[in-house]
Amino acid sequence: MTTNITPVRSDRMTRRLPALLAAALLAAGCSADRLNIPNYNEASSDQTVDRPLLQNLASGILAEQRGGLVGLISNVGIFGRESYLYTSSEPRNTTLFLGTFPLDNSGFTNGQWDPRFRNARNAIELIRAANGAAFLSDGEKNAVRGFANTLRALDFFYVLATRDTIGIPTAIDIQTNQPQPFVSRDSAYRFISGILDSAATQLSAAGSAAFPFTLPPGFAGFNTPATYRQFNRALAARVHIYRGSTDCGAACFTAALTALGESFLSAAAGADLRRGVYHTFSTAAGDALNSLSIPVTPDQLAHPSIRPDAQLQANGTRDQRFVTKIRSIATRNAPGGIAVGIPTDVGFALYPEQTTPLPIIRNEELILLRAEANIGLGQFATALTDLNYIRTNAGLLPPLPSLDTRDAAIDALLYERRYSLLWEGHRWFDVRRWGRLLTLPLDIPTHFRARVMPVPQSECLARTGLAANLRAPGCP
Amino acid sequence: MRLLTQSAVALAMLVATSTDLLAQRRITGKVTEEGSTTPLAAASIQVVGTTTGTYTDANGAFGLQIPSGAVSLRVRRIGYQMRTVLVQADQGTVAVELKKDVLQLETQVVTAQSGSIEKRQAATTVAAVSGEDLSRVPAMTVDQALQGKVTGARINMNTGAPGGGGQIQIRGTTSILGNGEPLFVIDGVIMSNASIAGGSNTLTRAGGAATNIASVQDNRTNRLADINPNEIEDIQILKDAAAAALYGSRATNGVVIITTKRGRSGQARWNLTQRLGQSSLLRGIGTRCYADSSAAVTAAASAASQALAIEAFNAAKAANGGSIPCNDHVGQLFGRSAMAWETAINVSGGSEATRYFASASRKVDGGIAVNTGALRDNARINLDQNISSRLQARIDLGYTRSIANRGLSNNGNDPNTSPLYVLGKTPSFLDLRTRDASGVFPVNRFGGGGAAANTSNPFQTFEHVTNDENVDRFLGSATLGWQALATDVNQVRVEYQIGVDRFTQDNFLYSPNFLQFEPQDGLPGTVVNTNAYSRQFNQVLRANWNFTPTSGFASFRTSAGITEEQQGLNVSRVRAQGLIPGVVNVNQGQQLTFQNQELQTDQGLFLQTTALALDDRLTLGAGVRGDRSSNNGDRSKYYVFPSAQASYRFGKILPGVDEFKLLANWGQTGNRPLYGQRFITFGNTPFINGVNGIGTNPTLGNPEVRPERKTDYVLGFTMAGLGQRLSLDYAYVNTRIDDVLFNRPIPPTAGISQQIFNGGRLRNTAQEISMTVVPVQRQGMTWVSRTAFQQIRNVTEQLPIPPFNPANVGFGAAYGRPRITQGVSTTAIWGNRPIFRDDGSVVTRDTIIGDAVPDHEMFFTNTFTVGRFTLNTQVDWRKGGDLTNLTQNIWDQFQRARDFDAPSPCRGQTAANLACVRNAGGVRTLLDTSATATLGRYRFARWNNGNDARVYVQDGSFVKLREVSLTYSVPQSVARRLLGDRVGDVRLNVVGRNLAVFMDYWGMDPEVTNFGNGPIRSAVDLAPFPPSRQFFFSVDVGF
Repeated sequence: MTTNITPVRSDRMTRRLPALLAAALLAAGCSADRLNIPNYNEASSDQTVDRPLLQNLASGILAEQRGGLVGLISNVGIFGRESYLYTSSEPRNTTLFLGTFPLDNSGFTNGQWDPRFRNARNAIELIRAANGAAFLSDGEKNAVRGFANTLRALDFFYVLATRDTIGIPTAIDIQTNQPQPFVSRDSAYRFISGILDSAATQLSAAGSAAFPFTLPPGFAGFNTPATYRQFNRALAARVHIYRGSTDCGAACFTAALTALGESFLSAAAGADLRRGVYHTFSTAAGDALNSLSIPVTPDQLAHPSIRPDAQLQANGTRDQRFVTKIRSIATRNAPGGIAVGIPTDVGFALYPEQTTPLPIIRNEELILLRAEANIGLGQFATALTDLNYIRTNAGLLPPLPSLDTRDAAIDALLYERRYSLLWEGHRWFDVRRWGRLLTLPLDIPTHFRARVMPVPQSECLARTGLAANLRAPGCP
Repeated sequence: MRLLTQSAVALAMLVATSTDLLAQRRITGKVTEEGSTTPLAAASIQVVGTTTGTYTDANGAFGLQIPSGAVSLRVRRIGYQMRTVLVQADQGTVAVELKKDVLQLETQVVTAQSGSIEKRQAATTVAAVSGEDLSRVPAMTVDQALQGKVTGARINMNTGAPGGGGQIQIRGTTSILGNGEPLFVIDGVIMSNASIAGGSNTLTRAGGAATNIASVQDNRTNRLADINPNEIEDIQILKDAAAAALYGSRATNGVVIITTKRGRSGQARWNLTQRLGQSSLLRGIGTRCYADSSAAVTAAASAASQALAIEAFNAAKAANGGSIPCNDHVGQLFGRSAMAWETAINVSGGSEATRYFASASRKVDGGIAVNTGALRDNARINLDQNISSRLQARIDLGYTRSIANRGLSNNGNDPNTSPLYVLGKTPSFLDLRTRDASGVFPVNRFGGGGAAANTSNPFQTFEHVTNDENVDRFLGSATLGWQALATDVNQVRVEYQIGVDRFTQDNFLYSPNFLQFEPQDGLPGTVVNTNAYSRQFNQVLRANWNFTPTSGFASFRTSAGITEEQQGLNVSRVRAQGLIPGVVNVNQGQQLTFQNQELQTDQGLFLQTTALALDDRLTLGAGVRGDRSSNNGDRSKYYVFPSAQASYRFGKILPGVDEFKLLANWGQTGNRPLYGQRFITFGNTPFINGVNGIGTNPTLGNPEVRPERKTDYVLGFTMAGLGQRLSLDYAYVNTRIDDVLFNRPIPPTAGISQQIFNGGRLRNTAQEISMTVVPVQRQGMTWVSRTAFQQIRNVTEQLPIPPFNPANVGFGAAYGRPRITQGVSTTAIWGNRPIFRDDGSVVTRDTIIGDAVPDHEMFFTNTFTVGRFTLNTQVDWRKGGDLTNLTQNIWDQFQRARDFDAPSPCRGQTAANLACVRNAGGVRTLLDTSATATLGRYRFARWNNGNDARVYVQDGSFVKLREVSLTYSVPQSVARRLLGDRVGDVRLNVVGRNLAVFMDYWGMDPEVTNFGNGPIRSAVDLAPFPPSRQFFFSVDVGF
């Protein structure tokens, strides 16, 4: 390369060239408007409310609840000795859930927390959106409030059921996100009943208005404010019963009977025990599969005690509920290599397809709730009718002649609940509520029976250093 | 319109300006290497005091028009010491001998956005690596080629898989949640080094849930892999904030400036390189061979039911004539000797007005497992055009096609498809390789946890799974430079440059229906298509002004400019499961889709000036950059990053010391927030009933988010002595990062979990020493020895939130992982260990059990030249640097580790030896101390279900023989006789990479990591793709 640049004077024009270039670049390129780039991946939270947005918010709440229920059933199934999760790559599903006391709160046995509170917040967001939506009638607004509050109560219910005596915070500060104090178990149940009651009032006030969004097919028969209210009352009955069996007693059992009267309970001859509200799954893009189902998680197995504990029908075969819900498998051991294997030769047949729906609450439970309320009130004969209805219709078992003592009545109730509601997320709560946690079998002597799920470490840490009333109970 | 007309007139006037006609004469000359008479091509000849100059041709010859009268010529060439020779008024020819610059004191180093300074005058510690050093031994990627060549950088390859996948981290951890990668600039184009997941997690299930269709555990390739080391003239790495400050809020992690080769006027000069070589397994993982039936069945039953174990064992034993077979599955699967080759050709030439450099190459690296490998095609054309004597244009265009077939590797879950993951669970008596008469591979049912269900047979998987990555990339820039003023006193140059980096990455993953593991999810057959589109664009207008007052007291170089940079990335991915046999179209199956789109724009202003004074002994500089970004909460605010630097060169202050330079600099750079961190949004939930759901986002954005700010100061000296036979560089670096981006935890009962915010401080210190010695330097024989040392420490000095576990660097306290804690090393590895108390009790605590950052690293490079032979070796030594060896954990759990049956260190021990005691529910419990206790059982039992993570958090020290090359330079006379008269330079080479590794580490390579690139460089060895060793024979011909 040869460059011959001789010194020249710069004339006026050439001196102006860089200035011109700079001006052009500045004008064309460097305007701050070019820095205004939106978020392409997620919806802004301050957008205008319209019907599609309400649908998205409502669907979001239901989708979160569906995921939460799947996790709940898997976790409390292990605690309640109904199920195992023998994923070979994750032995902690056995070692931590059954064998490590106290339960690890740092991320493995602490479910049913963050997403539940988040979903309760979603319900508040939906109500706020509806409140400000000029295009909704008052009836529609009440329908939205009733819908959202019912689900909010259900989210709180599951957090409380898994934490029991620890208690939970019930208020959510969506303005400043400040932590709220924990309240006792009974206050929390009262709070949940309160939300359910106000939701029922709102659903009644909706009148003939329809929900301004579509509910999934699992809500078929319960997708108008009036029919959805039956679902609301069914949940209210469950909450009253839980409270009745712990801190409250007769008053709550009576309230439960009232609520059941407004629910979809039917013990008529030939009543459909499976009638109820379900979560549905789909193979469509973006939707979820039922991860309790055999094809999705073949490592979900049943506890071997389910077989010998099932009573015999008159013809010698086991309880029909056992027959239809349990399948035999080649014996499998807990993963963990050198660790002791815990063999089981039974699995579930409950969710055979990857889109088998998952019940939230159904008629069979309602009949058993009514039996439980009557047992709680000492009305054993009334209770016996309901128990025998289930025994004979669902289990094809001979009816019980009588319920003689309260203990015998509770034992009978718990047996029916165990097989009628097998692996639907009830067993662990039931034995704990009635003080029968010790009836749960231990597979090996070093195992233990969990009583509550811990408050997650993240909650503990985020409350470190706060005033005593704001700290989380039970944190290490 | 009026503006345009004026510009056109101005342009026309410029073109019309002609060179003046001073009296001139022509001289010719030749430049050779001192001592060897080897002609030196491409040496630059410049008439001192003017801008007149030329370059030598392939024979070292040049011709030049010079003014009449005596002139001085300045002759310089990369790698040689500059010389100034006097040409008398009556002299017509000149011969110049240049001495090798083995100490690299005269390398030009970058000081600013444009402009450079001799390394001996620099006040910053820029690392420069020449293209020759980079491509001496072929490397898969540029990052691999840079390993051990940059003091102050940790450069690791995350995987042994063909196609690359590495990370460069300069001087420690600078960010926890933000960007941890240096900024890469090639010929002025700000290029993307994105690592885009290909979706192999769909098969390995590394992320657990079946709904994940990509994860950081996908063995990603960083796109630096597209750059061809052969095209590179040199790479400079700006490490100090003072040097990188002019890149503003993207420079916290340093700036890597890559310059490609350019054309030189004269006859076309061709260079042809042909390489032929081979890759083979560097180090496998071995296997345990079972001593007896009982050991074999026990081991097999740990990964299946007892019945299956016995059945499989009996069958295998019978088929082997009654003795227990022993298969080294990893050695078998990765035992291929694969051919590697490379063909590269380039040409450079042109006229005085138009100069070109063009190159084309293809590189093929066969993988050591069947159906793996990488191919890279590169083409480049760099053009320089003098439009007039004062207006120059430059157009550079590079094209890359990268194809890689990377198999499967890394973490897994059911159904166990990652090879080293499932093989750890598979007993060695099984023959997985031999197909039956109809070509079907044996079925593997081990690893499924006792279910009789099939897991995977990696031989079948690798035979039939397709995991292809295909990249097409254009990198181009156009530059218009205008020499506004060129006098002896003032030189002003104005430059406008635009750069574009555009690539598409397509990943195609296909697992056919008939594979053993495919029916496990009820949806046989999987296909994942990933399409990523990346577009980066940058433009800069800058002016450089060199001012050299005639007084000679000082000279000044000033540059100023404005820049705009834009980066867009759009990744979409669709997966289909449950395919119709033989159909790879996603329409046919159950689909899941994903898309992520990002766009970010930055604008900056900069000004920098450097002064050389006191006979060029004193260098003083200062600069400032203002930056604003679309990613900041306040996008209209300029964040300002200042810098200052100074150095002084002393003369012979001590006997033997030729020169001694002290340097100090201080500067600030930024690391802007990531895209999306400033937005408050709804999060997405799964669809339900065909409707997409939204809800509260667990991570709350922050509209006040701003760049992280790094401030560092560097103190150092450079010494050259013993008559250019010794040089020593030392630098101490103290770095502080403020406004670090963290997630503030919010009690989850509020419905959200965290919010991003700026706070806290990281503090890093580094010491860097490099020494070059020339022990032998005489006629026909030299030995140059370079030794470098680096030590990096990074501490989280202030943490405004409780300690937390950063994502994507580990698997919990049971296995050890970084945990960000105030006052502690940022890369400390925390994990469970038993604490034995004086009262006899024992508790398990999550505490510090290691550190990912090595104690120190040293690099040794030696070059011996004897006559026409040159031998070059590079050895890297890493001392310390812990990592989690999860591979060993799996291979112990399922009783397959190669040393499983070795004696346990606890044989005959008592409870006094705490290494033989574990915590069993608060009770001190002695491990097996019998005379038959074995090592594998000892390790797994001591690990105690994660109650003692120390067992698998292991020291990653190593010594690696990274590069060896032996070159023979064929005498020109011989070459010409054989190949014709045009031939200049012919060299024959035998080279090898990763030839040997010496270490106590049990795994295959302590540098690999399951998680790939991330801001916290902490490694987890989990079923990686094994590393390979490469040999090449190559011929270089210049003509």
